[in-house]
Amino acid sequence: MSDSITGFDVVVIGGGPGGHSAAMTAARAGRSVLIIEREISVGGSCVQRGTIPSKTLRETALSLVAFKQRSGHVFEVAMREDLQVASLMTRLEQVVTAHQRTMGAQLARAEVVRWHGRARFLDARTIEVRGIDAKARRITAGLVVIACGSRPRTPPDVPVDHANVLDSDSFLSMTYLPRSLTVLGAGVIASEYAAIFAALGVPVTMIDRAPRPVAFLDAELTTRFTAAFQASGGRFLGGRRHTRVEWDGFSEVVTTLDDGSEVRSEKLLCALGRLANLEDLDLPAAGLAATDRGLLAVDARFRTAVPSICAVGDVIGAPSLASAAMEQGRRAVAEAFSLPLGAPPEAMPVGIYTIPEMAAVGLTEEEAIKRGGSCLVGRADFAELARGQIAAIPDGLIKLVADASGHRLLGVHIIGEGAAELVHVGELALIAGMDIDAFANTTFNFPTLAEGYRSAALDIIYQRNQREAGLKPVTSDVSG
Amino acid sequence: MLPEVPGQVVQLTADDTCDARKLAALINRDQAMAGNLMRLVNSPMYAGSVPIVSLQQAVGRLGLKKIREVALIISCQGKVFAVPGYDALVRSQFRHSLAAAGFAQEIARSRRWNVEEAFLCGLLHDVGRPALLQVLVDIHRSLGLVPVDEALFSAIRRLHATVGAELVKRWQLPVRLSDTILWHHDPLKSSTAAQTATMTALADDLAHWALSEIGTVRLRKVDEAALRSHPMLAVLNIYPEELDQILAARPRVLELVSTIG
Repeated sequence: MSDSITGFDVVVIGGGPGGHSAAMTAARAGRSVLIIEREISVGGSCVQRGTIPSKTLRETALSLVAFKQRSGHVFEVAMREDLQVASLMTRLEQVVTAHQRTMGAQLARAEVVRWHGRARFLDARTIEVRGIDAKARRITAGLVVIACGSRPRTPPDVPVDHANVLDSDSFLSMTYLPRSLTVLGAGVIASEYAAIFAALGVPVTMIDRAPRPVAFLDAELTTRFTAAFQASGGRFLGGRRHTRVEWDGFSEVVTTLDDGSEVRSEKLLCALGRLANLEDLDLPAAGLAATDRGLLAVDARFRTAVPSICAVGDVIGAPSLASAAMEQGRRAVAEAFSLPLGAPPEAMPVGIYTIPEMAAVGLTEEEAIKRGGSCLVGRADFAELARGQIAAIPDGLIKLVADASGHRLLGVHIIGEGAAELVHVGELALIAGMDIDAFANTTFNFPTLAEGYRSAALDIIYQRNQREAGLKPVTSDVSG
Repeated sequence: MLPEVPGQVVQLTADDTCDARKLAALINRDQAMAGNLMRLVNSPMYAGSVPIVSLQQAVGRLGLKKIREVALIISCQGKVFAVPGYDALVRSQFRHSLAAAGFAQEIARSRRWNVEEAFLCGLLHDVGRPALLQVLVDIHRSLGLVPVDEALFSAIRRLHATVGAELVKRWQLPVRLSDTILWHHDPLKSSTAAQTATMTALADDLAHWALSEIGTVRLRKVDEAALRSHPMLAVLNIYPEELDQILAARPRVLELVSTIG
């Protein structure tokens, strides 16, 4: 072990989206920065095992769905039976390599030092980094940013063997397309994979305690998603939980549910949450402890109980999105060094890459009613938009939620291809405090899906005018 | 090499109430049975257009009746890979392959990769050895010559990866598997199977280490120090603590070897 101790202004543990953003912010502010990454490349699970690989697979599934829809189902489209999952991700290696190279190059340009190894605290400001070769180095840090990410959680009653019962890490290295698939869980990861494999023609059964998938989203979106999922051959069993999962030792995974029923499938994906990667850090040495849920508690400035240690990304829990982690990393460092920083965003958008895609920002209809007693809702079906018809995506919806007066925008909820991009218009409107009428007074390109904002706003304005005139709206869109 | 297994499979599958677990375990017991089963289930006669990439997939997809047929065919083929005079060596190599299969799974599990493919990579990585031995001994004997062991084994050492890969290719198994076998002594040269070849290279040495104290015929000795400085650890990003966990699987792997091999 080397006795010399190097000092850095900022030490970032973890090279995923949150860590990368924190390191870049600090380096651009002229601080000396070290980033410690236990994997060979930076990028974190997002690049190597999560977001990017699954989205690459999704693109293939989407092409299949789009071809079917756009050809008016003239052509019979079937997957080759000898299809291997890897062959559906033909561009994966290029995509991952390019992303890793870009992130690495950005760090190098900013003169961020990178060490490959595992970090653990010796005290609140001293960290030991142990490499693959077991050699240890010590460093001191003015500020530590913990951004170690997470891994799939394996409940004790689900025997994940990475052969028949898989988690979201081992799932993508499956060599062949399964004949049938059970998905435990109905969160973001579960719903995305369930939708992708259903689109690829695999009979998928999704099981969850919640009554609907991605339950934190607006109910109208998830109802539409569930319908689309079931139309593509999927099955959602909500309000149920597994009591037993067992590989029959022969050909099927048998999942017994609390209502006594059994679901049999060739493979099972367990997507019942994630665990923060904190156990290697020796938190007590730094004066820290994980919460009961295995997370790190932070304040609004992302400081832990030890002010010189911040935590961002999956280690602090929801929303566990790469986009959120990036913003948290930036804010944590900017706050620590009193760098110029705007007000924290009031609303964080979410993009769910199911088929069809879903995205939201702000309050759901239910939340708006709970908060204000009632609300007005405007809708624009993609079927009524020229672009929706042209692109053969009539199942989409833009839904605007306004306060009871029908003036103030509270939330935007979108389902349909392009939702994750489209939602940013609504996000900026929310941040800028724009009212509903601003959409009606804005000219959108024709034909586009963004026109839906205008249509949905006009829907709210119509209801508002009818109400002010003492008339009942023709549509029954008044909620609350 | 355990020619009785196909017979037992036939016997077991004759009973429609056959215990599925027993059948899967039985097929796993025999490298030749496994290899031939894979070849046959991927042949047009059985497979149609569905490639079978693992034993459990083969068992699961074909069902009892077809597995019985395949076992019958293999039984009729006679003593596959049985080389009179070299029984102990062939058995020793089979035990090594089983241990490599077990460790390949442990490595895959540690990396959170799918382990299904890993078992087959380990089981078949040296399949070229018994095949070459059989052919070379047969040639010698047909010419009335007595094989010179050192020359025989030198040829096998040099050619087994190429021959094994070719064999597996002819069985129409996935290219990634044949490439894994081809490059398992030089994994970084593989363009299509670097990950599985690297895993197999480490599993190969882990198997040598695990069996080195038990007594094997003509197998390399690998000590723990060599494993701890194994060049593939850095490629696979396996930290010392993770290697400890893999090494700790030795009793489990040896149990597999003693149960099956």
